[in-house]
Formats: sequence, C-alpha cells, structure tokens
Amino acid sequence: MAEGCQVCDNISSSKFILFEDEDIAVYLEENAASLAHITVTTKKHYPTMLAVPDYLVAWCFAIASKISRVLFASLSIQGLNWLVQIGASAGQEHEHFTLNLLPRLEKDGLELRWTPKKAEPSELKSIQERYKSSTSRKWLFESKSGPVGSETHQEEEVIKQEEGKENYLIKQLNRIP
Amino acid sequence: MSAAETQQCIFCKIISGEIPSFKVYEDDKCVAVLDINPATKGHLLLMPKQHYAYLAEMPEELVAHLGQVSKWLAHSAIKLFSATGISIFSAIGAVAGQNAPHAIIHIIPRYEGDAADLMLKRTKVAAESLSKLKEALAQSLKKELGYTESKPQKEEEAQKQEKVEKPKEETEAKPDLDSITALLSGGEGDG
Repeated sequence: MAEGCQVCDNISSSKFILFEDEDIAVYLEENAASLAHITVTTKKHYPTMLAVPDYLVAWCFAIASKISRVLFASLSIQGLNWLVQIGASAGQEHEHFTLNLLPRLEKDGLELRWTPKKAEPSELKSIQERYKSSTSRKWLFESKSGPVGSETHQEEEVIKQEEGKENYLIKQLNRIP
Repeated sequence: MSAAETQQCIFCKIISGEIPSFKVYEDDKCVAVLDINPATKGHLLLMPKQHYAYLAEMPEELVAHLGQVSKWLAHSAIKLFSATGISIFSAIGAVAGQNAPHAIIHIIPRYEGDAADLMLKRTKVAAESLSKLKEALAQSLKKELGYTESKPQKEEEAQKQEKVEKPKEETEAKPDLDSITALLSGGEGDG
C-alpha cells in the first residue's frame, strides 16, 4: 500500500470490489471511462506492468479473461476493450499497474483509436531485426541469472540498470496538473 | 473454430507463413509480428497460434501466457526504441474497434506527441448505478470465479447465512439491465 495512491485507496476502501484474493483486486470504477468500467490490479503497489512479476501479470490477464466472459453474459454488452497504460505518454494516470476493462455499446462516445501509417518495408525490416535480437533472449526477463561474471549474469545486471530508467516514466506523471 | 474460419483468416495465414510478415517473436502458443500500418514505431500484433476470433473465447491459460509475453515485448520496445510508454490494447467486437477476424493484443510503443489517442476520459458514476451493476454481476461472478463478497466467517455463521441466501437467489428477479444502462448513460459529471 502506497500513501496517496488512488488505486491503493480503491483496493482498501471501495464498496464495489467484484473479486479479490491475496494478490489482486477487481473493482468497478467510480470515475469511469465507459459503462461498467472495471479495473484489475495488483494489491501490491507496482508502478507499472513492467515491475509486476510475470506470474502476477499472468494471473491478472487470466482473471480479466473470466471477467470478460461474465460481462458479455450478464450485461449484454456489444464489445469490450482491454487497456494497459504504461507511462504518462500512454495516459497512465496513477503510479500503480492497472488493467482496464471497458465494456462498449454502440455510439457510447468512447474513442480509442489511432491513425495507421504505412511503414516502409526497409524500416520494418530494421525494426524486426532489433526486436529479434532482444526477444531471442526472452529468458532475460525471467528471474534467473547465470553465474556471477557470466555473460548471462552481466546481461541481467544491464536489465536491472535499464529498469532503473523506468522511473523516468513515472516522473512524467508528476507533470499531470 | 471451424476449419473454414481458419482457412479464410488472414492472420492464420500470417502465422503459418503463407502470407509474409515481419515476425519478431514466436513460441509454441503465440506469435508477434510488426503491424505494417503501425500507430507508432515498433507497433506489434501479438496473437495466439490457434485461431480464436475473440480474446474472450480463449482459454484463460492462453490469455495468461499472452499477458506475460506482452510484458516482455513492452520491455523490449522501451529498451530498443527509447519509447516513453506502452499501450497494451485489445478490442473484442466491432463496436470496440475490432477489425481483424483473429484475437489480437496490440503492443504500441508510445512517444511524446505521437498520434495514437488511447486516453481515457472519465465521468463520475452514481453509487446507486454501481450497486446495481455489482448486483447484476454477482451471480455470474460466483459461477465463473467461485467468488462471493463475504469475508471468511466462522463455519457455523457461514452455513446459516448460506441457508438464508439460497432461497433469495432462486426467487429474486433478474435486474433490469436496460435501466442500468440508461442510468449509466445519464451519469453525473461532465459528459
């Protein structure tokens, strides 16, 4: 629990908790972006999804999946959006990981969109190569490191240092008036 | 998921390699490719290898796996492209903006001043409306998640309460969902 965190407050005091266990809480938003806007979140205060342990990310997504089925079955909604916002530039409002479930009705006034731009194949190829060099070592994101001094251990140290840079994503939240 | 659906699905063809793509990640359950009409640099489409038209019909174990992979890919995007944020987004149903016939999670790197508009504008909702919504969801939540709101009680008190609650559940009329929707559409605060 972090002092001054709206999400932590909601977890501890909301009258509209729909589900909770020792790790996560699910509640109806009192300040909602859509009909029956639901938040799935971790009880522990993690500033963004990137800081949440993999097993908890998995659990949040699994519970969100079940809640989605409940929404379609119980409320006759016509659509549903999932949205995780990481960083101020993505619209993250609170320094606490949340997964938003946004039920949709036709002409509900909610606009979640972007303008697609055609990308040049050469640029896509370059981006692909950079991703592949990273994702081929997806084990880097698992909490295992090789022996100290090994290439694997050094790589994990680089990742930890890089994760320290994540704080700048949060610092930008302070710019929100 | 019929064979016909899979055969006609352009994303199944991308996954199988029949249609070329810029694949960046693959495991036994899912594939991530670059969007060739991206919202921003590094925009990824993460999808299950098996054909599902909607995220909501996927087994939750598979959704859980996609969640983990989303996190890894988001981490990569920030590291590689100095993105200042990530939007992880999915649309279920045309009304929600789903254009593809295949369940997809979008991983969209965000940069200052980029053109993607995935911001949430919030409106205060009346407590009465939320109470009705919670009531409308309670039965299905119990069935799907095995969850009821009551805090753990002493066993005898719990048994007593259960005996009282069961008849109520059987005879209580279903809430009027149209009126709940109307209540929310006319909620308090700025529209």
